Amino acid sequence: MPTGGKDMTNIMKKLKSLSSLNLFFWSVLWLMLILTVGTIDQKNIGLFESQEKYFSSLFFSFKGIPVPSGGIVILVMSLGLLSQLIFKTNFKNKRSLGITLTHLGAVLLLSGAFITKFTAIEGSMVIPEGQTISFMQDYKKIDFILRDSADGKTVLSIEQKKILPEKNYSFNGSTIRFTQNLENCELVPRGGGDGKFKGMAAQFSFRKLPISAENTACTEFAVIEEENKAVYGIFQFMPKEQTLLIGGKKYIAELRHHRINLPFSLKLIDFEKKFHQGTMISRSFKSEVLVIEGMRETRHLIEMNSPLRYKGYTFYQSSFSENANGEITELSVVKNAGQIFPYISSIIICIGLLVHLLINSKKFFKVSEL
Amino acid sequence: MIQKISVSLLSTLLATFIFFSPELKAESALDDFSLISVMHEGRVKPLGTFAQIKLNELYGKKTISGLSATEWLAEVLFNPKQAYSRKIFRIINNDVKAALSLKAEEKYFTFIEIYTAFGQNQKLISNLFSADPAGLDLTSNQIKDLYNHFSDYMGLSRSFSFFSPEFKEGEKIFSYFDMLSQNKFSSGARNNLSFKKFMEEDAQFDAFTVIQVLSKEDSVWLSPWKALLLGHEQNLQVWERMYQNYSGNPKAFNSEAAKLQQTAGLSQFKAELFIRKHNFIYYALSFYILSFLLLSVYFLKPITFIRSASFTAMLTGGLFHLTLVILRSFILGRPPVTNLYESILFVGLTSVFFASVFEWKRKNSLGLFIGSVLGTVLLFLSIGYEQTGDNLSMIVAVLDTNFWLATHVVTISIGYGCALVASLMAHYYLYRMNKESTHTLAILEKNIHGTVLFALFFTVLGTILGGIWADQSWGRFWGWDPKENGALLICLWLLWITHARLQGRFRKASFAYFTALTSIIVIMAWFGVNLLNVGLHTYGFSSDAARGLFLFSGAEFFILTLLYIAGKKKFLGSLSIENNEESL
Repeated sequence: MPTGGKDMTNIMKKLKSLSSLNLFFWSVLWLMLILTVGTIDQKNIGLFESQEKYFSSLFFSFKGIPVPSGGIVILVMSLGLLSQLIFKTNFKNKRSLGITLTHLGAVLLLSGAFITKFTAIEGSMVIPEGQTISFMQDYKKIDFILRDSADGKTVLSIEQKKILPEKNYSFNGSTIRFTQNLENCELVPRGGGDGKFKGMAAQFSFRKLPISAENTACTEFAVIEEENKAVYGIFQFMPKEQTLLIGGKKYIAELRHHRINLPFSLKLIDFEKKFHQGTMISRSFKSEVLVIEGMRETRHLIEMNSPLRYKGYTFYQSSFSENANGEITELSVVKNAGQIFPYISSIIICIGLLVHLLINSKKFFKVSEL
Repeated sequence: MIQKISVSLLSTLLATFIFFSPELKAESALDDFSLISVMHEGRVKPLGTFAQIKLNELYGKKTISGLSATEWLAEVLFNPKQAYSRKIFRIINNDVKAALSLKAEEKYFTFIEIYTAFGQNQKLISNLFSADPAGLDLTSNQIKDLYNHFSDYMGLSRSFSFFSPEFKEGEKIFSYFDMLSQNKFSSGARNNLSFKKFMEEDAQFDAFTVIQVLSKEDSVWLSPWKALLLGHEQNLQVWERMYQNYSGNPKAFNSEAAKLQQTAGLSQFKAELFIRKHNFIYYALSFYILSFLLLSVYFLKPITFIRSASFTAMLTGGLFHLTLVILRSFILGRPPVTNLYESILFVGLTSVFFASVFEWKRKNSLGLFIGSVLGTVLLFLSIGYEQTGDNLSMIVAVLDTNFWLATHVVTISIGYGCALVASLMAHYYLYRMNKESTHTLAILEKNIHGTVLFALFFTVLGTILGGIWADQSWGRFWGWDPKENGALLICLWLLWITHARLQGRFRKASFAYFTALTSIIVIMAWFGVNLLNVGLHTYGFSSDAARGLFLFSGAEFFILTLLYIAGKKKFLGSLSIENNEESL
């Protein structure tokens, strides 16, 4: 047992040392630095990529060297704050009451952030007028999908980022292997192919592009049964579906945003947009939707600054588009268990700071003597 | 003490009264006309404002040969023939004049001159408008602008052409409006059908949307011609009487105009014309500069009276500043901050307010220094950001919520103001490091710390409220968006310096040094982020602003570092001398 006790004190010591102001000093300095760099880099790589690289992940690579990014810094700061609250707070000292409250609020805020990070689901829902949709799309994840052309059933679904180059993927007794898999690409005309390329790939090949704010994913794959004589290429947002014939059966291949099914569906009855007269300044966007759950149907209006909350999901009016068939609304969808945390913590933080300012106001704004 | 306060307040009021007394009695002949509602650029505004915007677009000034903008617009609308011979189109670029064969020595041209010039250069115009806009040079763009202004003006002048008596039928002369209202088109006017068609071409101009037509759920604003062609003649009858009385009977004209005013929003209209007439920013700015000059005199000759005078000047400037912010807010029916321009005005006001409170309590001229400097600098900056044309503009749908604008935006702006005040106090600390006693410096440092905590309170609250707004509107509390990151950066910076002070790492001069640097952080978060949003294609103003931003940051960093190093050396030197003296 003595070793155990020693271990315990060692752990306690280490935990205590996390509350050191030195650690806080350097963590905040580092966080400010990556915050600045990450914000400026948004111009080049876009919001999502920059968020992933600098703020959410644990490490990012700077000229090949792994350096800690926002995730790890915030984690260290949160542990430090917790340790400060546990080991160093003197709850009896009235003068530090405000600071203790503020720290408590900050811990709550950060816990909310962690809960959100690990549990929240978010995505978008794109619904053309008159249509009913029962899934949301992930913002980032792209899936490779193979559907049976006859009944529309998905026979193969792989997340694009997880595709392995040397692996065979089987479905319905057939096999494919990926020959090229790019997160962002552009099309290049293929000058005279050797006949093994089918469909779109007969005319175009893909050229890799660096990851940017707007990416077009693409893959090229060979059907093994055809002895590598049939190679197909598809890319995201293809204007025409790519069909393929394998073993006498017709399939459709596509790259699309990962879909998350909802326990209910939404029908867009009407979308309405208004501008301030004589300008292109938006005045209001409105989507009138029907929430369909089994036999139950309820009408709702989703507006800017006035979302629809239903069964833990929240639907926000985010954008819209138009095509020949009419208007298409774009809603962002969020399910977040940590939503309430900022509300509570902001109140606690503000009360804490106010209490601190009031208790010490004489000290801060003393006029004559020290 | 109380005496001094009442003296400064009284002189403040007196100065204000002197400023406005001539305006209190003077009434323009067309006051009622200037208060009619016009829909322009998405906002219902008084005709007087519309007239000023248009005159400024064409002529570049607020009045034209003795006529106010409203009087000028009335002439264009009701007596276009006279208006056509006024030199109204301003052309500065000689290349433009050469291209249109206009006289190079003239700066202003009449409608007729421009009409003739464009008539002779039709091919040039059609080429310019069919060309790729990206490839056009400055002169070509200015010719296009001139053409747009020209057709805008033409449209304005033809707004009421249907009142003009141009149809002849035997002895009688009719206007298009008469014909329509008396159903004359069936008989005598038949031979004038081509003319009718020609007239109706005036309806294509949509420059002057002044007729409000109410429908079930919405109201639409139409130009007079559109209103006529859509069958709303009854809405034009008052205008007809105004048209008839314009030249001969100004009194009747005005009383007709009064009938068109809407009671709802009339006081807002009056307030708007009032702030358009008086350039409050310049008034406030002049008093802030005066306050600073008096303060400089006080630094040389410390007479209490001069300090009081400087304080009075700052308060007077602050009063103009406050009036402007309140009136703008009243006119738009919104909280005071909805865009970058307004945020500069508001942060300036906040800074002057905190500085005044400080001066009131401390009476040591530090508050005067902070208030007059920040007031002057920020108001100068606001002039740079003031939009040409209408600076009371509408806001996009997502920002259209008074609650969040009032809470989040106002709180964060107060935070910016406090942070700037703290930074300037720290500037002062560094500057006076060797001129003040250790005791005074110690108190000053505590004051700086207190102000930093105030700034921290408002920026943290403002940032979290911003997150909550985002959560309400977009479903995400935090999205690492540039604007959010900017606000977070200020919070982190303030947290960093307060904790470093607590730790003993930053004390006295070093604490002052890092607090002084807060100005760079605030300016970067406030303006730098906006530059980032503009994207890669930033030209002209934006790249100028970027240059200004980096120049400011660089200069600020350099000066503060220099002050800090020099101060630190001298300070240590003086300490060793003091010690030596003590030992002696």
